[in-house]
Amino acid sequence: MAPASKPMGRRPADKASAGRQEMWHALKRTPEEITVTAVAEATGVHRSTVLRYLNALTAGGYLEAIPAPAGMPGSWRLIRDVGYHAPRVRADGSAVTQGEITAQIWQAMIGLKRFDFRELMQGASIDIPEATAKDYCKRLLAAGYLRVLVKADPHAGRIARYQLIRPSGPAAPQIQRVRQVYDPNTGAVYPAEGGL
Amino acid sequence: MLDGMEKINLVKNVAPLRNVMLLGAVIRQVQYRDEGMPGMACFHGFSGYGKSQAALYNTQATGACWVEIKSVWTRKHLVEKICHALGIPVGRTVADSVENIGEELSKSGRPLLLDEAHILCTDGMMKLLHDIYESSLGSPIVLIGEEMLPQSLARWERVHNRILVWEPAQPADLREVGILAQLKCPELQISEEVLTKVLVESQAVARRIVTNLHQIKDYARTEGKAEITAADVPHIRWQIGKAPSPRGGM
Repeated sequence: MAPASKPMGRRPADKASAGRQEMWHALKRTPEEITVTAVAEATGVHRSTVLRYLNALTAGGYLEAIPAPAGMPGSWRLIRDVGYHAPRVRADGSAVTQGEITAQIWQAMIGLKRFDFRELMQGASIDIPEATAKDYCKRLLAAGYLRVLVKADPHAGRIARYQLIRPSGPAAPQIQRVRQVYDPNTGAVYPAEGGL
Repeated sequence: MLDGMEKINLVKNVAPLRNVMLLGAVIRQVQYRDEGMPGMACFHGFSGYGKSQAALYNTQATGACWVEIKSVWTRKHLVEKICHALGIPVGRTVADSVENIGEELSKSGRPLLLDEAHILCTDGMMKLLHDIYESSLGSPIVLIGEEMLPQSLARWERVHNRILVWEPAQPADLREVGILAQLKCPELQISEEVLTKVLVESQAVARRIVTNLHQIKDYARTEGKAEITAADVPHIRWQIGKAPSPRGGM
């Protein structure tokens, strides 16, 4: 058992502290000379986390390591600026795909406005499992994002149609394990009621 | 559904529809254009041809920024909505926002899709569009709008001659009716004659095809049929897209 004073693992999304986005903004302020110390001081992120992200960005081709003389701290230079949003990269530099499915479902909801779960799957460019599309609708409905236009009627072979009533922004709301929906656009948290 | 197992090569999304592919090609054309070529495109067509559906799919596939314009928007609204869709902070003034948008578009390389772009055909909006294009250093911008959009744009030469591709959206064909039938009513077996009838009754407009497929679905449900053949055609209530004529004696 971990001692209560130091919780293990990653914190839930709504309680997260500074992360990639903050580190990205901090390193963009000094694009010619990026150091672990400067980024850690500007964001309050632990040095090892900063170093890991800088190494990942280097592997992904966003940064270039500047060799330092022996005994001196190394630094990096920004060689590929992709704008406001921090690149989501793994340690080996490849792009993080986690959250892609909900991002596509959310974009389809914004685009279609009125939809059923099948139309959401058909408006996506990647394969979305039926269960995922259904479940995401169900949870956003419980959290008050959707309104039911047509109730599902299994006897008539009809599936529910919804309308998006809270298009809060471009980032998809996240379903958290603690049975709530976290909206990264506003930072708000909605309890997913109804014992889902 | 066990008897559906043989339909393993089902159409999964709207990608094989022609207008979806056309818009995808347009975006690629402006994205990978030669140096010195203009970077805007125009995708125009009649209402219900599936332009917005195409825009949605291509937004997903290319990571584009999609904004649907409303007629009541002011210039400030427009830049705010684009900032919002890009997920970047809104500037204090319109000028600040245009700079932010330009920087983000040029750095991220995301195409900007403006749906219902015919609404932008006013002096102020066209100047704003030109500003966004210039401050983004020629990032791909696709204007999606109704059939007369190219003629409307001709009034603003500055925008008009920055358009690289003019692509008209195409009416549906029989193949697409088949795809839509698979997407909208995968549980039904619909014969070729019926699909042809759907295409004719819908005047090849995608939105009406979907409506008529829905009518077929309703009919199949009430009759308890899983197979629709030419014999069922007279019993289906077709939507032919005409306003009903006035009744006699009124």
